[in-house]
Amino acid sequence: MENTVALGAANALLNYDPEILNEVLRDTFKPKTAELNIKAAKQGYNYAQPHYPDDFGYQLKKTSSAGKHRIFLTGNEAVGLGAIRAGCKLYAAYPMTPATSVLHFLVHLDRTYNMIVIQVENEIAAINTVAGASYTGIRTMTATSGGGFCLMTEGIGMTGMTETNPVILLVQRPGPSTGLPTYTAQGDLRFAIHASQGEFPRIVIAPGDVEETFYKTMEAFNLAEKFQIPAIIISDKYLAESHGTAEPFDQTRTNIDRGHLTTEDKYTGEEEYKRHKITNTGISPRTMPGTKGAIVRTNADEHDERGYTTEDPTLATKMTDKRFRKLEALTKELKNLETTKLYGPEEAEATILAWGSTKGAIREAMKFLSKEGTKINYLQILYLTPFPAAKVQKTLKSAKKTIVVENNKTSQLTSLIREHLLTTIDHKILKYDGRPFNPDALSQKIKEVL
Amino acid sequence: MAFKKALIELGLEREEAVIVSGIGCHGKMINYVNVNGFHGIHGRVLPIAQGIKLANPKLTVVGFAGDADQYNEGWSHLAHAVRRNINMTLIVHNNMVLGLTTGQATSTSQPGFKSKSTPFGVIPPMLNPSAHALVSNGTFVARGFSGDMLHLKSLIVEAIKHRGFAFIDVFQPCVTFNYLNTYDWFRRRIYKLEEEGHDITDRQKALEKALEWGDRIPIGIFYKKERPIYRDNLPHVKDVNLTKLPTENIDIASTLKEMM
Repeated sequence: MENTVALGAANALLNYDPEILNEVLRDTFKPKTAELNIKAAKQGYNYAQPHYPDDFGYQLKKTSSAGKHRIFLTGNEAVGLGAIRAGCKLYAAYPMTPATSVLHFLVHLDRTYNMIVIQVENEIAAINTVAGASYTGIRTMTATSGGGFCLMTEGIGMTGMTETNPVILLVQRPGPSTGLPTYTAQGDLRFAIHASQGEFPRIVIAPGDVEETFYKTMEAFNLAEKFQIPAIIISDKYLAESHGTAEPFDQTRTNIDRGHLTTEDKYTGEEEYKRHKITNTGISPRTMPGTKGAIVRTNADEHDERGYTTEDPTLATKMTDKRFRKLEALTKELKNLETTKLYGPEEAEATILAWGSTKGAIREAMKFLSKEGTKINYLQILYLTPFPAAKVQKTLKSAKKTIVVENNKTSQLTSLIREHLLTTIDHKILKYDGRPFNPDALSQKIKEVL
Repeated sequence: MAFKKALIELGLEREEAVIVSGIGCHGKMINYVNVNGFHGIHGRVLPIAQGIKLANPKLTVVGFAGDADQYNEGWSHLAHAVRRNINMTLIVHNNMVLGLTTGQATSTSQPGFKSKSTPFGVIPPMLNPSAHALVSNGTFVARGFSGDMLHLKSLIVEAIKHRGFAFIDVFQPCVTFNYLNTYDWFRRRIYKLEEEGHDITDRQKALEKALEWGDRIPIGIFYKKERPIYRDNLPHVKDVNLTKLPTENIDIASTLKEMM
């Protein structure tokens, strides 16, 4: 109960109405325990108030929410909600920290939203199960962390070849191997971009907070299905399991786009159905197995339009080109989506480039620096594959000094920028001790490199 | 051939069946049977097939795997598929050798079997897939022989009709790389369980029969017993084809409210 005493004392320092804490305690505990906790909070409050009067720099004030409520959730819950809203019907996974809470969240809701949520024997089973289910025409998802993602890599390649489209959530933690299993990192960016043998298009999206996680998860489902490619959402322990508040998600903001999918009842079958038909955009019209008049055949071996195995060199080239034409179409589509976000003034002394969960600390550090008169801006890169090269280049052109902020050792974003734009980054602020950036310490580091 | 005949006997339309194959000599199966097909990767027939069946229970799902495919690379999936009891069939083409990779030992190659990877003979004893399926709480466990097509066809028909996970291990001699377990070798040893009054509801007896190996080797149904399939315990989707559910307008307002 020491924590309750401390909460009461903190309430006194912040000059906050103790009744609000009492309500929370009544909400949390059974009546008898609640009353004991309320007493404990009062003790803390009564001690702190006379001993530390008015010398605390920050005071909490009740805001007039006027009936408005914000939601309170974790990044993993935001992914789960995004998946439900996007119409995901099957989720298969094997527990691995820090991705497990997606399984917990969804399994409690599967009966409400008519989904199948299944814990399978390992991550290899998970990726293959969602690939198989995706072949039937439903939306599917799996989630894991680095070790499980290693096991999934062969299956991810199979989704590339069979043009199935599961969404895969990769929640990073420090590696290699078991590493620091319950801490945070951004060391798997290159891994996500390149996982599996061979070449095929994919999507890698990195949301930075719970709100983006929800909307970008929906986007991932749409793009994966429309372009019939796997979509990887890359998050980390810090984003996945920290609680945050947000405006209640706007259900109308992202529409469902199922692309070239013909459901069983709408299939006309004028010509022989070819699952991997060669088209201008590379996207082959999809229908569901079970559809009268259509044989839906797919193949992890190189195949012809009908899904039959082939070793023909001309056809092998044509099919690879067909799959990569989808990347061109996708890149075009991404021009209309938010793939990067710029924060802070247009004119700045330095520009920060970063991806993922570092967003909160960076924005907070910018506030500290701005109070001291230092103008910094920040480009958040939301899509890592396909890389929004033109948008990043535009920002880099006007940047006086560039700083990459990342939770890894080798600054993988720097290498990615160099790969796409042949540009070097002036400074890197890197942290790889398993802990997220702290805004205070980060603002100090930024000052050091300015 | 036995599978095609079984499909005809069952009166299934092409569109109603999906076959899933792995990697091995059996893998090309999807090129030979004109039904829906998913040719997957080595060892993963079962997760793919179960994903398909979970999504769309209206489809008749039959997985085809090889012995290396299922009993080496995909061994763990077998036990879990058997105990999960999703309503589908698995047929393993067991030739007791890796044929596609030109002749190495598998986990069902006999001790002493000389192959490219075991020039001095296989060291450990063989795995026993039928016994393994029985102790993993299998509800339909059978063994067939490609040298007796009509018998095999009838097993496949029974397996597909079975409500639950049906497993058939099929001896299918490799005429190129298995010099030991040939058609003749099997013909001299094989006998049919149903001709010797085997009780297919007796799991203990079934296990005894599954363990029999040597001069006499049984084929036929070892064991058959219904228990609830996986979906029976999912009341919200028990009879629901997930592919028919709407994707649009899933209202999450109630869950959002709980988060306020």
